Amino acid sequence: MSMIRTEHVSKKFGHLEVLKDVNLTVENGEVICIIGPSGAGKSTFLRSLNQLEMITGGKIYIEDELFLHREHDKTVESIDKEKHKALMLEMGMVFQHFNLFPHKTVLENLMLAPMTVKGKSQEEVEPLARQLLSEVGLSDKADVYPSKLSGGQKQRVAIARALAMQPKIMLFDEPTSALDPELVGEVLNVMKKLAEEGMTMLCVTHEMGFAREVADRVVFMADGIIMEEGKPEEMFNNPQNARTKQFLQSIL
Amino acid sequence: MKKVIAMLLASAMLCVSFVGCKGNDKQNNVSKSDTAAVDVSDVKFIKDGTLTVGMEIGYPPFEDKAENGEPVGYDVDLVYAVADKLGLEVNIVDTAFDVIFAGIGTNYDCVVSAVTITDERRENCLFSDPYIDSYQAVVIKKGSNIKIESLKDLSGKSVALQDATTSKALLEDMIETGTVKDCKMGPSEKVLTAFTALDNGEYDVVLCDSPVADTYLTNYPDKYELAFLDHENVEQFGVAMAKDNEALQTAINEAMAQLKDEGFFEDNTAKWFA
Amino acid sequence: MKTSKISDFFRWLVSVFDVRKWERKSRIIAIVLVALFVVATAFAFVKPSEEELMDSASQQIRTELKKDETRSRRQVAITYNDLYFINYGSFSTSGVKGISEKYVGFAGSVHKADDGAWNVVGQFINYTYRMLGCGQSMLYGAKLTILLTTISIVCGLFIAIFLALGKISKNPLISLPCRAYIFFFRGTPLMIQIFCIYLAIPGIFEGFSWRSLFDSNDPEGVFKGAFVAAAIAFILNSAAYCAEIVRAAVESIDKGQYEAAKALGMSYGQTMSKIIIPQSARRMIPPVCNEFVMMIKDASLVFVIGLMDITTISKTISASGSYLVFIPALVIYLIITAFFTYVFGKIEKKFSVYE
Repeated sequence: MSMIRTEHVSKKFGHLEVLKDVNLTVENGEVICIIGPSGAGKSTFLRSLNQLEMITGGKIYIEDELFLHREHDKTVESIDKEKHKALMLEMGMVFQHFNLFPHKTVLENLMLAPMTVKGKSQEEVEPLARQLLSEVGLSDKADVYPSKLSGGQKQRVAIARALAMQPKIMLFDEPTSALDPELVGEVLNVMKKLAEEGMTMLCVTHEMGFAREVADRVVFMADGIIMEEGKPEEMFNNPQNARTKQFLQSIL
Repeated sequence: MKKVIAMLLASAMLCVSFVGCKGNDKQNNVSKSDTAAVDVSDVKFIKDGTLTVGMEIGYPPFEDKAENGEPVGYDVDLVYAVADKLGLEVNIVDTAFDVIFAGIGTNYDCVVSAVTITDERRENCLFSDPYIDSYQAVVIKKGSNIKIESLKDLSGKSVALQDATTSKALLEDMIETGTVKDCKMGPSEKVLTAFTALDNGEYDVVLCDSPVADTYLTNYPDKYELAFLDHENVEQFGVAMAKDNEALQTAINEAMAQLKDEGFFEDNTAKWFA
Repeated sequence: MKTSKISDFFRWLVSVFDVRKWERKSRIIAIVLVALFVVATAFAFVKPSEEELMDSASQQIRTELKKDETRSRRQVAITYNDLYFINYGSFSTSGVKGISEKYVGFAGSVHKADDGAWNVVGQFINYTYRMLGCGQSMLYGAKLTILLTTISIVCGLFIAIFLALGKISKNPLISLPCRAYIFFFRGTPLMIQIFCIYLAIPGIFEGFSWRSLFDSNDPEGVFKGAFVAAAIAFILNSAAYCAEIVRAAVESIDKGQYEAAKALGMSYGQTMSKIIIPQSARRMIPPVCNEFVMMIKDASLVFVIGLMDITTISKTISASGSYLVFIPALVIYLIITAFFTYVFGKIEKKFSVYE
């Protein structure tokens, strides 16, 4: 069973075609890193999976169910609202700029969505939230406001917040790009641990070391299409596509 | 069973006390209308047994407030005297002059607030017989060399006056018809502001009702002097009431006729205008 | 969650009164205020009683008072104003030849206040007393001003949240009416809005008058009716102004907050009520405070429909020629605005704990 499958996904901002024809399948428990030059449409692709961007055409399947089918900027087919909401909750997202809720404490950040969206009580949610905080190594920060945290700590809280909804898929949108270099490691460690636990992960990243070490598959995107995909060793040691070669040369 | 009897007794007592109350009320009413000189049994009032009067307080000597906040003035004395004749209590409602006519019949029975009887106002309300005559007075600063021999001489002058008054209406009319030319008109909300502006030298003259002018002339003889009293445009103050309330008009006219015979108006004028 | 919120609030409330946590500045202000209060209370204890003060009346006044007992209508206006640590009493008859006597009771003795400094003091007491609306209903003087502005800012802000969200809505069926509303109420003078509501509505609906909302035998009915009309006008007006404040605050919130909320599966309503509005609340406070202070002064517009606020009372008093009244009027306004500015500052601080 594939967790996510996209067919011919396209996205236009006015006349600018950001995604042209993206076809990707993510299997259960798979860790995929999407790499590529800026402006390739990596983030847009990730964001259109949980509908932060509305695609202009193509099909998205989640857990083999047709989640959305659009053509020419019109929705052709979509599942019913309840199902839609349930499938949306299967995806957790981590942003480049953390987007923590600044007016809530760390613990409240974790508990807010489970309580409001799933209607759970505080008693139900709090043990899980505290457990997640200890997993990301921030047990002592539970009652602190986000403004008092470092960038790395914020991103770890953001990961824990997404996990508090108990998603099956985690989407990471350049999670370390806004961090000071010395803080990158702590976030990557958390992600590595998550991958080892078997979480299905889709990461847009510039951390080639992380991609090489953790990813099951690496996807190279450029100009709104997937140029090449494959196992990390093959991709990094023996790229086939000329664009991939050029990109890897430029960054390594 | 005992409870039922007790309840019956209680309700019977309640009924009796109600009847008793009503009886008392009636007696009170009878005794009141006994003393009343004018019968008002066919007049409908906003509040029974009370003459509710709309008045803009802040126009001495007609309407002013004492230090304890109670209204005093020529009109206030008149209202109490009339109400006395009608055998009624008085309730004075302080209202801005701009909206005073809108409230007749809903907020108060009548308006007594130095209201000049005009044809325009007659279209919307009834007036009692006039109770005071007033003329347009032109007041100048003491010692100023301005000469006013008729209202035409207001040409080229700056005139301070109170907003929404007949003085303003008259001056506007004269400006429109060209009787007065090049006249700068400065309306203010209170007549006192007009007099202060004159004293401060911001305006050449004040145009106002003669009783008001009299008050300022007596109170501040070293500040103001009378330049001209216009006997042509006589104005008369009256009590204004709702268009359909002819019964009240009759009653008030009768009360004022009696007051006139008793010399009330001479006394009141002497009391307020020296 | 609910109980913890309430207990949180009480904990905050208690902490507000915890002097140790105060800043130096507020501590000094508090000490000065308490000191003033203690001094005033000390003076209040040695102030002459009402009987002592009013017993000072001269023989002439006494004869007039005696006559009043048999007259159908009293001729002597008796005034007694008590301002905690000082009091003032006067007797006066009206008319050109009216007589008057004034007394100020302070620190154990009664001072004649017909002229000189005590006269000024006496007038200040009398004017302050009247403008505060002492001995009057809630719809009078400073009480009216505070009541009207508080009601209109609270209700107005509540409506404003929906107006603002409506205005930024992408659905033109929602945003256009909201835009039109805001445009209309910001683009027309408040005074004319008051006039319209007070005069035009009873004109359109035959038989309706604002007074008729209340018992016709209630002598305060006129003022209650006018107050309802004024409050509606003020609420509708402040809703429009606050809507722009709310809109600006909501739009200043980072887009990432919406995305994070959406990614967590929160609906639009949940996002607004849990994430966006609480965060923008802090940014709204300074402009809302500003709007509130403006409205305290705008409240004087109610004079057009016969309500007596501080400004109207001071104008009526000044019509008799006493300009001194404007000094206590200014002081009263300053105290009210200072108080509310302080309260808003405290609320802002409370909202910005997380920054």
